[in-house]
Parts: sequence; structure tokens; C-alpha cells
Amino acid sequence: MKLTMRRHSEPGIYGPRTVSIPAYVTGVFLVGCPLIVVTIFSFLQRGDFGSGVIHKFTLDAYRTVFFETDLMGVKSFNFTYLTIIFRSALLAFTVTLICLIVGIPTAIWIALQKKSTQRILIALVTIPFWVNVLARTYAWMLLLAENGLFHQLGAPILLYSSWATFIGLTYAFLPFMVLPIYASAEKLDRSILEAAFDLGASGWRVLFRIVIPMIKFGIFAGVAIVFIPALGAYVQPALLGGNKTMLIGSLINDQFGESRNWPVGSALAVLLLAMTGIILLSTRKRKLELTS
Amino acid sequence: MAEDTGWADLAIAGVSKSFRDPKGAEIKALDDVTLSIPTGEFVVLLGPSGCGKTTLLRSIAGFEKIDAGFINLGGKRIDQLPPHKRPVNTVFQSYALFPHMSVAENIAFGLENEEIPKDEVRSRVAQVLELVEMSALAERKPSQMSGGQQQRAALARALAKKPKALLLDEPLAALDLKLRKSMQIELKRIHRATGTTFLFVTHDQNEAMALGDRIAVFNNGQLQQVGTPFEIYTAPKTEFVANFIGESTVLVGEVKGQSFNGDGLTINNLAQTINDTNGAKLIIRPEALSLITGKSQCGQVTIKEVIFAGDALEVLLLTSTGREVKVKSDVSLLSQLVIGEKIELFVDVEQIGQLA
Amino acid sequence: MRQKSWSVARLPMIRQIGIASLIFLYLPLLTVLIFSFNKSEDATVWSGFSTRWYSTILDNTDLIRSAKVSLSIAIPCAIIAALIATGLAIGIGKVTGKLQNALRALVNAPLVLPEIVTSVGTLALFSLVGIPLHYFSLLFAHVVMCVPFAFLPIRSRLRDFDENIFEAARDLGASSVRVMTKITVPLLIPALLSSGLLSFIISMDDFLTSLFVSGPETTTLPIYIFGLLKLGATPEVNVIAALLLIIPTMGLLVGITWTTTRRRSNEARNK
Repeated sequence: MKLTMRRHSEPGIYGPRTVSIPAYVTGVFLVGCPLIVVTIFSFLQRGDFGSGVIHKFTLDAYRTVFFETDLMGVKSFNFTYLTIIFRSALLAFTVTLICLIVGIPTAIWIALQKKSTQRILIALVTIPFWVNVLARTYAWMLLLAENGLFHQLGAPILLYSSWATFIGLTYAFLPFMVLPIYASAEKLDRSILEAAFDLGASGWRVLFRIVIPMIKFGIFAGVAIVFIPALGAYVQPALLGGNKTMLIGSLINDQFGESRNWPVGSALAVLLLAMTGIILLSTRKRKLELTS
Repeated sequence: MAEDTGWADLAIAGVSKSFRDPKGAEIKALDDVTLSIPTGEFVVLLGPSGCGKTTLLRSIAGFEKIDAGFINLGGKRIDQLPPHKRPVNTVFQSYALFPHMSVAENIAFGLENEEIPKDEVRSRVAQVLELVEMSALAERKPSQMSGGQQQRAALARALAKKPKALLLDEPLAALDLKLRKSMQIELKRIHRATGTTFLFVTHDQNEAMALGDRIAVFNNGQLQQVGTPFEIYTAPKTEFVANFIGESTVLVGEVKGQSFNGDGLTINNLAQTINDTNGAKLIIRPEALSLITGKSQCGQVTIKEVIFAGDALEVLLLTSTGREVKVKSDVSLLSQLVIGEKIELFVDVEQIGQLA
Repeated sequence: MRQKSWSVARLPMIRQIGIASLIFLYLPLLTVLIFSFNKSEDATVWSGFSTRWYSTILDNTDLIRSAKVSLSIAIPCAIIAALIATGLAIGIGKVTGKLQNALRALVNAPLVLPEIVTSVGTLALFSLVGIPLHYFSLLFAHVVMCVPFAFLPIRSRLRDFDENIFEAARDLGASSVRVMTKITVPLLIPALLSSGLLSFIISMDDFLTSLFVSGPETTTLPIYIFGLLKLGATPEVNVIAALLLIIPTMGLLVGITWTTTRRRSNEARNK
């Protein structure tokens, strides 16, 4: 085993270190502070007439999210909010799963083509990525609406339902899943596959026991890039779901908008942040375990 | 164009440096290295991968900070200076030419950093290009040149600043054998022409012996021996040096009163330089041993293997204790050597060295 | 040379799924494109080819105004984000310390966290500090969002270079600043351009952050379009959606052709 010593290059190899200060300032003030402020807001009181906050500490926001008191004064778990949170997680999970089932084979297929074909196919996958999410979501509004193409072809009207939201999300995030997996897959040494086939393995075996384990870093990246934004999605539920089925994203927007309850909106954002944090930390732990 | 770089003795004293490997263990890259290099010498730092020679070079250049000791150049302490303030320049193994600049611009870059007037920059660039015989390629970009040409350009760029010491980090490693040999000759010529101290790192012992006025052999961060190629070859001080440079046979036994007894062999009339000791290690080069009568007889050995090497035979033999003996023999003996048979071994006692 | 489709043929279903997913990706886009040329006022039922709705676009002053707002944010944002990201890539160099890593994670956060959290947070921050929601507040919110994206092409390009080149510059007497101005930045120019372009596109396309952080006068193009979309499918919206499709695609195709021809000419030159 060759011991590679890490070259401790003199710091500031590309230029003076001070030029990174604007970035750090931006990071601290415009990324760190918003997160801190929103956490603070979740512990503050709702402002009069609903706008803004009153600087008084209270746990009201979290109480509203988790508990509810009915007319008799009996306290119980507030299933409304919790259901929404759970539903969002379930939806994000399903979207991620479908994206994996479709995305992994697609990425592998592209990676096994010859180089020039690969470039074309990846360009094709990338183009939707650059089209505004509003346009991509609207496309499904067209297809799923009453008298839309699908309806004309005999399918039920799917618009303004959770199915529509699900389709819209999967559609939006599929390129996000394919690209990182492709990045892993294109580095695959094809001779390993050929050796596996040589040894008599069936196609399924090679796929599941050799290819997929070798691209697992790409898969992890893809899962993170799809699951987390899907959890906090707003556009698709708003346009395709008709806001009938509330998800966390729409709920937060609502609390900061019409319902005018900033502390509750902040509390929900904090919860979403916490969920994201847990996922990120567990993927990092997984990555560390796998690399050591 | 012998340049006088002034007093540029390089003094490396007690230099140590440690790294931490990924698991956290400490690795001593340099272990108390002390070396003195007079002005204008061509010194080769030789050793296997990971022995510390490149770390020492980078420490002199300023890309590594040393943990202990000091480095002086021309009387001034340099190990605490940042790289751009040290009067040394480096030729990198990968050449490291600036890809967006022509050769001339690459060379001029270093001079511009010294705030030298434009005219002088131009003339010095021309001078150094002539020195490395690259004047015609001044306007070329690195991507348009061969490896050998890039190498000369990197050399010119470093020499243009007239450094007090030129550091070369395995610069010939990427060249094919023929080009390598001609570049070695070129380097010697340029060294003589400039009179600059050259510090050359390599793992190739043949290269080291061809180029160096003196060779410093390293292993595991420690300086094993410093000496001229002749000294290193004929009188290695440690087993490592003996094995790293050329082939050798090491016999273990007792020396008493200019006689050696060990490994089933007896050698008399040893030189005065061999000391009496119980655990003596004698080192003998293959050409100092013989299978033909004429020199001092030492005893019987069994023939293990005979390798035909074109101009000579490399014969591997085993003593009664199983020690391997390497003998360089004349080709004419080929038919007389039968594997498994015993044969008499002879040695030229004057060429026997003793290891510490 | 092995048959190129050998492995593809042996791995089950990947060709079928691959082709199916491409169809899945493009069917909706093609639908929008086709229906933008629909003759009738019914957005979803085809009745013949016509470009009439395209000409109405230019009369839509609200659309034009919001487009101008978006451009006025996206262009400065691209420049500022590219500069900040370059500074980060250069200054951070190859050093990794605990503080460095933490700061980098922070700068990267918009990439990793759900946009709704960062946009709500930004709104909360501005509200707390008392910054009104106008042009500059929106611009800064966009810059923050774009910096982690702008950072990627620059860092990737820096890594491509032989580390020794920068060491050589130092070795030859250049101060940190000179290394940056004479070596690092000139070598980074192509990456700076892609950085800026990336930031521009992200800013132009951004919806959620703009929704929360924009004020009454800073209605960006996506916000305006969203308002239209909420009302359902109409022919005008078909056209707008089609344009949102055509413009980036054209841009990408131009970009790809340009880089391909440059790469081919470089390869030819180096032979």
C-alpha cells in the first residue's frame, strides 16, 4: 500500500487569501443570518393584524403546529399540520423512488454508449433542466387539464389532484437524478462488466451486484438533490395540485401570505430545515463509512 | 558565460519535517538532515520513492515548512522566507510552464517580478534562450512543444533569474531514454556555463552517478551518505547504500588481525582500513570477486544461477551458510559453470569495504 | 473494438427505460410547443396552425416590464456572483481548516437547502433589520443564491490545472497578488464566463425566492408568469411557455456547438 503524503501546499497558492472575504461575508450575513432569524421568529409572537412579529418569546407557534385544543378545551395532537408534514415526506419519498427506478437505468444506458452519443444524450437530458420550472409544470397543466390531451385520449382529469403534483414533481426532478448518477457511471470501467458477463453472471446480477454498487456515490447525490427540494416544493402543488392537498411548501407560503402567521410559518420552516439536516447528516455519515 | 552568483554556499542543518498520514500517524519525511553544499557544486539527491529527497528540495524552495533546523544560503537564513523571496528557483518534474504564455513570456515573468527594466528583461530572455538552445522557439506556447523542449523552457525560466541555487525535481523523469541521456549532457554543460549550484533529485542511480559532483543518498528521511560517485560506489557506509547503488555482496562474520572469517569463507590480508570487530559486515562489488585463480582465495561456493548479460556474466552463488554472492565474470566461463556445482571463490582484497 | 451496444444489450431493460424517459421528458415540452401554434382560443384542443398568439406577446406590457425587471436583476447578479465566487475559489486555495470548511458549507447552503427555507429566512431577515423589499434587497437575495452555483465551474477549472504552475509563479518571485492577476485570473477566464452565464440563467429563472423577497415594484418575469398560470391554460400562456422553452434550448445548442467546434479546432491544432 503506497502511503501518499498530503502535500501541504503553502496556503494562498492561487492568490491572496483575503479575496475570499466577500464570499464569507455574504455567507454569514445572507445565508447564516436568515436561518438564525427564521429560527428566532418561530419563537416569537404573531404580530397584530397578522403582519410580522412581536418581539415576545412564546412557544405558541410550535404549539399550534403540534397540538390543537378543541371547543371543549381538550388538547390533542394537531393532525392537520402533522398530516401535511407526513404527506410531504411521503410524496418526496415516492418521487425520489420513481426517479431512482427510472433514472438509474437511464443514466447507465447513456454511460454505456460511445462518447459522441453520450454527449448528445446528456445534452438532451440537460435541456429540460434549463427550461423554467414554471413552463415545465405548465406543460402538465396542459396535458392533464379538462379537455387536455390526456382527457381527450380518454384518461381521467388528473389536474388539481395529488397525482398531478406527483407527476409534475417527478418530471421536474428526473434530470436532477440522472445527471449525478451518469457522472458516476461514465467513470465505470467497462471491462469489469465484460469480465462479469464472462464469468456467467446474468444481466440482472451484473446490474444489481456490480454496476449499482459501483455508482452508489452518484445515487446518493441524486437522492439528496431530489428528495430535499421535493420536500419543500411549492410550484407544483400550487399549479398542479390546485392547493387542494396542502404540502409543507404551500403551507409555509400560506402562513407568510394569506394566513399571516409568521411564527407558525417560521416554525414549519424550522421543522423542514431540521428534516433536511437529518437527511444531510445521515448521507454524510454513510459516505464517510463507505470511504474509510 | 560563467556567472558569478557570489557566495552561495548552501547549508542545511538539522532539518526535520513530519507529516500526518490520513490515519493520524506521524511520518518523518526528513529526520535531522545535515548537508553542506559549496557554491557551484552539482549535487544529486538520490533515493527511493518517499525517502525525503523531494521534501528536502521543496523545503529549500519554500513550499514546505520545516519543523526543526535551519537552511542558510550564502550566509543568509532562508527557511523562514516565503518562496517568492528566496534566491532559489525550481525546475518542476511536470515543467509547470504557464499555458497561456509563450516561452519568452514565461521566462520574462520571473524577471518582471524583480522590477527589471524592459530592455534588460528582453536581453536576458534572449541570453538564456541561447544558453538552452531554444532561441527559435521563443514565441511558441507550451502546448505546441515537445516534452524535451518544454523541459528546456522550464530550465531557461528558472535560470533567467540567476538564482543562487537551482533546484531540479526529477526533471528528466518524463523523457525517453535517449533524450534523457542527451539532456544529462546538456545539463552538465549548462551547469559549467553558469557556475550555479545545482540540486538535482532523482531515484535513478545511474543518472545520479552520471551527473553529480557529489551524491547524497537518502532513505526514510535520513541522509545515509554523502560523497562523490566513486566514494559512494566503492565505499558505501551502510547496507542500504551498498544495495541501492550497484550490486553488492555483503558478508557477515568476524574480523581479527586483518583476517575475516564468516559465512563459510576466509579472507586474509585485508586492508588496514578494515577494523577488528565481531559483527563485521564486509561489502564486495561483483567485479571485485572472481572465479578464476589469481587473486586471494576465500573458499568454496555453490553455483546457483548464471545470467548472460551481453558483455559479462552475472553469476549468483551461495556460500555454505546460504549467503548470496554476486560475481561479475568473463563470458568465456559460460561453458564451465554448471549449476549446483561447487567452485572456488577469489577476491581482490583491496576493493573490500566495511559497513558500519 | 467491441460492439458498442454489447453491454447495453445484456443489461436488462436499460435501453427501454432510457428511451422511455427521454420520451417522457420531451413529450410535454413538445406539446407546449405545438399548442403554442394552435389557432383557436381553446388552449388544449388542436384546431389548426397559426402564429397569431405570438404577435400578441409584444403587446403585453406587463410581460415586457417584468422581463425588464428580471434582466435588470439577472445581469448585475451574474457579474457580482461570478466575482464573489472567484474570490472564494482563489482565496480558499487548497487549505482546509475547520473554520474554512464551515464557511464554505455556509456559502454552499443555498444549493443544499430547500429554497423555501432560504427565501422565507431572507424575508424574515429583511423584515427584522427593516430593509424594504425593493431592487437591492432582491438583487442581494439573488446573488446569495447564485454564488454556490457560480463557484462550481471555477473550482473545477482550477483543479484541472497542474498545481505546480502556481507554485512556479511563486518560485519565480511573484507575490500572492501577482500570482492572482497574472496567472490565476487569466487562466480562469473561460470559467468566469460560464459562471456568469450560469448565474444569469438561475437568476432569470428563479421563482420562489423572488416571490418572497420582491416588493410591489419588483415583479420579475417568473412571478408575473406564475400569476398567469394560476388562472389556467390559455393560448397566451402557451406562447409564453413555448418561449421559455425555445430560448434556453437555442442558447444551449449554440453553446454546445461553440464548445464543440472550439474543442475540435484545439485537437486539430495540437496534433
